[in-house]
Amino acid sequence: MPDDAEVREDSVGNEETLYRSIWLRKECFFLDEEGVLRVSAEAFADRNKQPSVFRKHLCDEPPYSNPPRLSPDDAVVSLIAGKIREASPIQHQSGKNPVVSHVIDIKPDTSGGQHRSHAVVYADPDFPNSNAFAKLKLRLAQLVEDWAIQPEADFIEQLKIMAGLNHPAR
Amino acid sequence: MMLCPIQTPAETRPRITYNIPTTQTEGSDEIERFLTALKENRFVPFVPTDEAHPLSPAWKRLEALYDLEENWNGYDVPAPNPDAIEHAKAWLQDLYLETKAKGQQWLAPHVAANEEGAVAFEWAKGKKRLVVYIGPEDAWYVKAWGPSVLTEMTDGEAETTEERLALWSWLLEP
Repeated sequence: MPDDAEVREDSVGNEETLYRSIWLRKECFFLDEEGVLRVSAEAFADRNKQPSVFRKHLCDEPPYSNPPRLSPDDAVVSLIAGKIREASPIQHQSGKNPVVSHVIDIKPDTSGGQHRSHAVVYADPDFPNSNAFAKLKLRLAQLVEDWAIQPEADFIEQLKIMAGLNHPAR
Repeated sequence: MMLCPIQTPAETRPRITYNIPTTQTEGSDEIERFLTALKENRFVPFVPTDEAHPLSPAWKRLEALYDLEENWNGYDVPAPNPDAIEHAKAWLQDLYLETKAKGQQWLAPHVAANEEGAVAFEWAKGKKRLVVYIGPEDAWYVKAWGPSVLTEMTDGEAETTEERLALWSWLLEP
């Protein structure tokens, strides 16, 4: 999406870049078997099962301004709105109940004094439990397009040490 | 061989010190002791005295979950559930022993927690991603091997030996 493109505040366009600020905690990042830094699905964990994102074109000086970077140490990743919507529908079956199809969408959310760039990824109907929400979190982790701000090198080094380098069992 | 999830509350479990063997020859007595304890539904905690043990990295991460407080990821999530952490330890021990018995490669999981306090084990291998969630009394998974949520992502239970080994074989296969 061009930087000078007009952005509607009342809806999120498919071409929009969305940022997710991620606390620098070892639970939110890991190195895969090839040593590639990944974002954990749990980096998108959210009590309301509606992960928060910030719309690039409505932030002041992204990615370093707050928002989208919610604290000075945070990493920031980017996603594309249309690709998130393509995750629809997420189907889930609880027990012997019928399969429910959840449409995935993104809506602006300025409730509670949130910044005008704030939006949430949500499901319609709402996810009934964490099992259903797990699919969205994993898809969002897969969809991470790029690092707007990478974790610091020292932090990545700590991850390598803690990972034990995934050596084969003896 | 049936390695059941442990259902007894943590505080009532007999504390049996057990180190998972790292070689086949030195461990036969230990394995026998372990299986006997399981048959008697006794909890057998792994004690990571060996820093190089394949389970040690994950064990440290599991212990670290006890230190996480509410809002640990900045998005209002609760602290990890202590009973889920204990269950996750037992689950991971079972997985390790089952894969070892099959002669399969071990990959250390990433350890985190979800928005309900369940423990999350996550692996990424090529295009494959597997997340196993361990609650106080249950275990389930979601796995993906491509971009389509409809045709390249599934979920299900991960409670039994058979379910665990099926997931592990899927993760390891090229």
